[in-house]
Amino acid sequence: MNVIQNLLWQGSVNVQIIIDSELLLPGVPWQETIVNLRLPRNSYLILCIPLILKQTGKFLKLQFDSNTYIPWFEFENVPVYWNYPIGILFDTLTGLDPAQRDAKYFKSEDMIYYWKLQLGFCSITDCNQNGIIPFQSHESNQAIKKYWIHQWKQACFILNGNSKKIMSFSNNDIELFWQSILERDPVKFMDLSNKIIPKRPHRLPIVIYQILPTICISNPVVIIDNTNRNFQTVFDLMKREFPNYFLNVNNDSGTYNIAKVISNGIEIPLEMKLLEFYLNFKSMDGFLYISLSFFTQSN
Amino acid sequence: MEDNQENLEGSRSRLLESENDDNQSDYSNVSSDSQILENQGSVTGTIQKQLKYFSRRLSQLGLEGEAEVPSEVVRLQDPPLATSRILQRLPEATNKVVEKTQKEQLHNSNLDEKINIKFQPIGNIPVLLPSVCKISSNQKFSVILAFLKKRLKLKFVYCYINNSFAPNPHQIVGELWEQFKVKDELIVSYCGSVAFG
Repeated sequence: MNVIQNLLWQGSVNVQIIIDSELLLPGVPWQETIVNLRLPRNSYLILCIPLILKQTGKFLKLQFDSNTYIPWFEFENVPVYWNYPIGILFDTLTGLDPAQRDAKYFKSEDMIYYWKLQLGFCSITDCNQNGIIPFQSHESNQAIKKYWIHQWKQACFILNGNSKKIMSFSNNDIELFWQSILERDPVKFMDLSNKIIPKRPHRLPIVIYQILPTICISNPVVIIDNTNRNFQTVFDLMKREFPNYFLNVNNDSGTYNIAKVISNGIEIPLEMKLLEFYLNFKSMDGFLYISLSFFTQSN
Repeated sequence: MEDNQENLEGSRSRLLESENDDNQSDYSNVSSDSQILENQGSVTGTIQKQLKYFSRRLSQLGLEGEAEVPSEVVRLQDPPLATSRILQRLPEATNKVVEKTQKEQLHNSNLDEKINIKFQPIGNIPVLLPSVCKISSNQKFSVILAFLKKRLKLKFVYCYINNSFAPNPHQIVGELWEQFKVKDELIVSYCGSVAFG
């Protein structure tokens, strides 16, 4: 694991969870149910549900192991999908611009910035309408584990042309792989993920999570041309996907890009090689998550 | 002769009713139908009539050609309020480009291009006929899951692409097709229980 990978693995987000006041027993002040957490960017929100419910369950009107209601997070009335890594959700939903981050959030050393989310419960019908994948709260860890392994199978298929490499993992390997995420063990994680990722992949599993002007998540086909120098950089991909936003690799020829590429809370240089970008910035599910941020007037 | 005709019509209506009631019996019905026709053959005469009968039955059941997965209206989700305020801080020229891009994206999503999906059953689950269906490329994969559950009258259906992985229900079908198509078809295997854990 190199320095970049190690730093990214340690990346975290401060999150404050507030329970929907309508779900609280009468007389319980909502302030008492606040849960403050520092969560790894490379992890899933759903994994902290048992901890939140353990702390707040006694204040709730309904049984949290109920099969009827599904816990879900929202940020300013927008559902926060549990099946994406925390880092990409934070970057996109808050419209993170790394260049503005320090000025905006860290005005003094005594301040910390946190992401305020609300935890609510909804019926399966409401879940479907909001695009939330239903799961039972008492089996949230199993739900996300199953989802995560299929994400890896899909990533493996894109990288290798089939999913044989991960399908040949023993149950023990799969368990170790999953535990490496739960226990935040980067060495174990890299050891196992390197068995899936080929040295010279032909295609890359990439997700582009756009927030503005409307939320749009896409999985473009990204073929790396190993035979010549075409289509190898981040700019090549961006120019193809967003030709109106990205005009030049460098803003020095009179025409300017209006957006920048963000991954793991960091602005990515457009001249970076796609393969290098993928290998260093990929998430714990084998996909590389990208968000876009626009240059504002203050930029 | 009239009795035979009545028997034939009777067996046809029974066949239609049974197929409406239970899709599981699709294959068995066709084979039993064929036996009926063999018996009828001596009366009605020629193979040509049998072929005509099958042709008519296929058109009645919609087994010819391809069916279509009903589309759902694609809802564009607005960003959180605080984040959407970023748009107000953008330079005017940027805002124009963003607006133009949004219009282009909306136009593309309304083009309604269709792609083919080939459904393959795994294990003891009803066979979906026709096995190849068309779907709008801008639909989410969750639409396919809902379609299968409705058509097969099942509470749970597990779907896999290329017998390998279960995709994220949010994924756009057209993108899955582009990434994993085999001979211009996205192969979706389906099962009533977990097949590839």
